[in-house]
Amino acid sequence: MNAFEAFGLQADTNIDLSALASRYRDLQSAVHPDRFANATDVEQRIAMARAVEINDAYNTLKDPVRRAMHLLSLKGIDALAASDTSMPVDFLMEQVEWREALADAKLKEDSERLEEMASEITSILHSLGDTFAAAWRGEHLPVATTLARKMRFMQKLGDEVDAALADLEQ
Amino acid sequence: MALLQISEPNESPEPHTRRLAVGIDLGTTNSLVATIRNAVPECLPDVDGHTMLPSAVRYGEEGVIEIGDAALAHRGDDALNTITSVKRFMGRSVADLRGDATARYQFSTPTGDGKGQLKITTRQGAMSPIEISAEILRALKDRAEQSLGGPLYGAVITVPAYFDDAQRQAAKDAAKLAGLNVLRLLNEPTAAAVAYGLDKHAEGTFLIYDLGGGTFDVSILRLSRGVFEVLATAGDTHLGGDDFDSALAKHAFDTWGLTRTLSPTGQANLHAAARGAKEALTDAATATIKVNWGCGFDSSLDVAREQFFSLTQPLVDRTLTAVKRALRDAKVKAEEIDGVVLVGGATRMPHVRAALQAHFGKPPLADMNPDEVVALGAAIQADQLAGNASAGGEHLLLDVIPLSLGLETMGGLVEKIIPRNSTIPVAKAQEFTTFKDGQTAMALHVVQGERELVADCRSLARFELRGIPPMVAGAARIRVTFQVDADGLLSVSATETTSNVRADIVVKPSYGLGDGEIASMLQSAFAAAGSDMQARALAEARVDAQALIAALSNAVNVDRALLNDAEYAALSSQIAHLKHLADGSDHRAIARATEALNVASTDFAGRRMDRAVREALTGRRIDSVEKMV
Repeated sequence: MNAFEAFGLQADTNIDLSALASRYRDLQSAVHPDRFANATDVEQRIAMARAVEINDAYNTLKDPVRRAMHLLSLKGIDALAASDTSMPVDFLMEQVEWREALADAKLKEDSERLEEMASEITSILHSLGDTFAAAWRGEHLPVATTLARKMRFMQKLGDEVDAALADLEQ
Repeated sequence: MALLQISEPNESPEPHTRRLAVGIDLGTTNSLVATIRNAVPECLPDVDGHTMLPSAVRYGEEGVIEIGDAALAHRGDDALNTITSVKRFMGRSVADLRGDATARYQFSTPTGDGKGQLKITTRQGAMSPIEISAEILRALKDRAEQSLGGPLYGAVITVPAYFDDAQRQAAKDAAKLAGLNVLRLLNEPTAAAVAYGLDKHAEGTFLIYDLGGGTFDVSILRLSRGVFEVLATAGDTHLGGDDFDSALAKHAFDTWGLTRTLSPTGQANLHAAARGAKEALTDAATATIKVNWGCGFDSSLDVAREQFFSLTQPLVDRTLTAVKRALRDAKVKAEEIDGVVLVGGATRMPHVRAALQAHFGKPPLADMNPDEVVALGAAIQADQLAGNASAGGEHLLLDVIPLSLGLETMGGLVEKIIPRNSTIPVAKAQEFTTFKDGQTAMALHVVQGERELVADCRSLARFELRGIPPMVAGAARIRVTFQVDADGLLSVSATETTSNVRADIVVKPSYGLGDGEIASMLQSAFAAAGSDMQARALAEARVDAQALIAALSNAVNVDRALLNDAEYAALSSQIAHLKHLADGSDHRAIARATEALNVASTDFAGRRMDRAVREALTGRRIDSVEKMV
């Protein structure tokens, strides 16, 4: 079962996150092992497996990058396949610049710059997500695949900026 | 089951079959036991009316074991045999203790290399923290059984949210050793959130700040219509009220110009005096640390409140670092927190409250007893897991793992399999491959922590997958699956997928006790008490069989429509067969038939679950149905 089906949704780029969170709570309320405290061992084991599936599906749907990868996989595309990792040169150059800026900000312990980077990355991710949605709906799958990979690059970068900020707080 | 029962709100479906269940807060300094009575959670007092049992165990002469205040009374004159703050040593090795100022006992390890669960040397032998904690738990179990008038069905035991897998396993083993049926290990801040949330009918985003005697946790939860969803947790299992005492004790020691290393008795007296002064400074502007060293020699020092605050501000700042990390991980801003709930006796310190007020721009919530709130929440959860809660009065906890779980890869690096703050239960699989041509075995090293190097993480277990067919390097496909259950405990399995060679491990190697070890300890305990293991096995087999018969008979009645006639007849006859066996005395036959009936009901259970999911998706929840009925 794919993540959208687990939540009773059509596979689509458009997701209402607060409705998703609410449905997640309803689903866990129905299947969580704690709800089967008095049930048979078999029911408890099934409940455990279902709760795991729903947690996994929720994590896939609420994260824009994982959701994009999942949508592509429904079209038979593994965007993370090691066989094809080519990316546009200008994008890779930008990545190099980002990494240099990150290293520089870490060295200078410049938390202000890091915060700026974090919010820039967030807005870039948003616009990449919008472009991905348009490409996916228009069935421009190679374009969508490249966009999903770009999103993943940016998300990893964002994680590193967050980690750098957390280090400065220690 | 619970989803299918429809009954009056606030009424247990079968009041006469209520099971006795308790919540136990096994604290560093004090422990408590609580239960639900007349629909209200309450802490159970001892004969003197005290709810808090000091977490102290003394191994006296002639096999006498004293617990609580009776033990504490000897902290001065029998310091080495009077163990306090044992929670700090749970799931820890001697090597872990380096630099721990509170480690004032004689330690040993079974292996001699400083690794593995440490033991504390007492006059009754070397005791593991698991055994010592079991004494405290047993005292609380006895208190509860006397107070409630019968044997306990089960208990929820709380642990710091930031406990790692080894520490959790140790806590669970201690409870089993005390003869408790562990319904769940529950994170302390989550337990507090349940007690607070249900009592105040709170909805929104809350931060639980839990500064106990020896551990610090911070958890951020979203409370919505009876669902308690933990968004992130952070903390420090070696930071608590004890450290504030130590800072004050060190200050006195230095001011007095003492140079000699103190005796264990001297240390214990100095810490007790420092603790007294710390507690006094919550209300008073000054307090005195006074220690009688014996032989007519004593020392005394006046400490002003401001001085105490500045001495310990670095400790408060450390808690705020964890608070910031939890907010970052939860992707929640400080101003979005609807309330900060204080838990743990150490949150009475005024500079802790002031720091939180400054950070969140509003005073923290201190309207529940910070000493009792964890035990009360555990009691509420225990009541539900024992099946006592009414259909309308149910809540759901969605908790997370505090630390990432991963595997060692080439070069001593960690590959994270399950990231921290993942909601449990959770399972993740990842594929690895061989490094050399013809490699037939693979060593898997399971670690927990956030750092990139294996050396900086906690080692949980090592195991080997053997019998991989020889292939060129990189051709084998080793699928490693990590599964974390609702107690937050990890199990790992590995399979070579092209040949189906398989290896499994439940991660409890050097820190917890093996199940066999617990069984033999329990057996000797029963032998001492004159109990009959055979009788116990029969009683347990009957309980399991009857529980299955009751649950399945009910399910078959309610959901007759999900079975065709042949299936219905088959299940009914198997239920009748098990009933018949349960009246006999062959515990092995009963256990076999129980398992067979469990297996036979698998399809039926799956159909019931599918139906429950469909109902959740169409929004037809039982509580709304109930209102119509």
